[in-house]
Amino acid sequence: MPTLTFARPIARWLPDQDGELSIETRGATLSAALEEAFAAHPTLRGYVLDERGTVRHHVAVFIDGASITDKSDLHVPLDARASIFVMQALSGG
Amino acid sequence: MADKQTILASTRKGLFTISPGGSGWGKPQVAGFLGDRVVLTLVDERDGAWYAALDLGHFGAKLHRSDDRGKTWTEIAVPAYPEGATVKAGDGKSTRPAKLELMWSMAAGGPDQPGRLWMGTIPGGLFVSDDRGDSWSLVEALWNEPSRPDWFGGGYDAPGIHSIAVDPRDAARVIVAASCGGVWETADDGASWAVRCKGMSAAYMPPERRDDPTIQDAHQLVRCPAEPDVLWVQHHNGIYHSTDCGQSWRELKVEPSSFGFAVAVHPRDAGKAWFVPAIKDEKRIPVDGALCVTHTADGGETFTAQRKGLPQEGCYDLVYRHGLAIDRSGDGLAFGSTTGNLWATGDGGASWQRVSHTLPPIYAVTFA
Repeated sequence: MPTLTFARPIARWLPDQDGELSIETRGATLSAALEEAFAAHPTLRGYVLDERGTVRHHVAVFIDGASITDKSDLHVPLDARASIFVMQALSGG
Repeated sequence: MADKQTILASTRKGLFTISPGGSGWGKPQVAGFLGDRVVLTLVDERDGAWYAALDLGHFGAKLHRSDDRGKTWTEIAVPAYPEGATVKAGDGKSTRPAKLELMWSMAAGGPDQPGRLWMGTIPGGLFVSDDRGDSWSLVEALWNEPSRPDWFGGGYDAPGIHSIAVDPRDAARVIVAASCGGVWETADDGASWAVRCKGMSAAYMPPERRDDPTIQDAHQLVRCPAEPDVLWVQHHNGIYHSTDCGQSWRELKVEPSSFGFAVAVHPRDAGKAWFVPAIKDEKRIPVDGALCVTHTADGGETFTAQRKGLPQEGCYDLVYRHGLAIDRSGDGLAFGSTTGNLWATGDGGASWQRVSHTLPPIYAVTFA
């Protein structure tokens, strides 16, 4: 099953979460996998996506080490062993 | 202290000079651009010229030069990306035209290259001038490096080059560092480049990319002028030391934190380096609200936390990557913070003195 990992600076906004958050999903697409994670942790959605459903400008999504290329198209097919990593830029002072 | 140098503080509201006075320092004096954002000032030791890089927001990035130590300034050219150049960052942001966003680093060329300046920019560019900044050209070989489109921004939206270290033995040999794009060296005056990140790792990246040399986030790189093969890097992930001109790097664990932005190296003793630590990643404040400078005098074997004269409670100052400077004697250092505090030492950091607590947020500090 694809594994979805949220880096610690995102996951820390979840109650009682210490460190990064990893979830095994059944999602066949990136969109489905993210929806599973959001169902389990509704708070996450607003940290990863903006109000239009696009990945936030300073959030990056990597699938098996390669960044997605279109933040507004999450219908990316996932291999059953895909490793998805969601991280963010951290800004300045 | 006869040769004590003047401090230049580049701030959000202008450029300030602080001259030595008595046993300490005088009051900050405006040296130009009051009210405007000065992100960086270069002092060219070869001819005494000062260069001030401005970020005027709505009006873009501007560059000024002074030949009379800040009494008068002349606006000169800024780098421009060639027609059709684009930025495609490796973190999924959409491709866009490359336009000058920020002048992030400057360095003077060698003594045998009068007029030579290097400029690192956001997005991701290295430019060169041979006429004291009256004209600039893009270093095409680095811009066209196949990995460059996969560099990405750290704190800024797009990647940028923030460190430029010219080899004093041979000015055609230059090392630059990019956030987040690794450490690069040229041996032929910019005609070709090789990445120099062996030993660096980035824990914040997906596991498959942590050792990728071309996404390493060196926050700042400095080189010892007297021993140019010795390099120090404050990296996002920790402190790195090289004694072979970047061919290999050793990671050092330092208390109270290995995270930070700024690093300074002694001009003659390469084993002496200073860092200003902070709680890593998203916090970026001094550990336990207590400000310190971490210092090694033995090439990184041991570190001490210098605290004398620095606030030890309720302190939330952060020091940016260009916010720490060392003078030509090696005994004088100064650093400025996002809170507008400026501290200096005349004894290598054994004791620090607060020079001002009322400056605007400080982006960069240098000596003149």
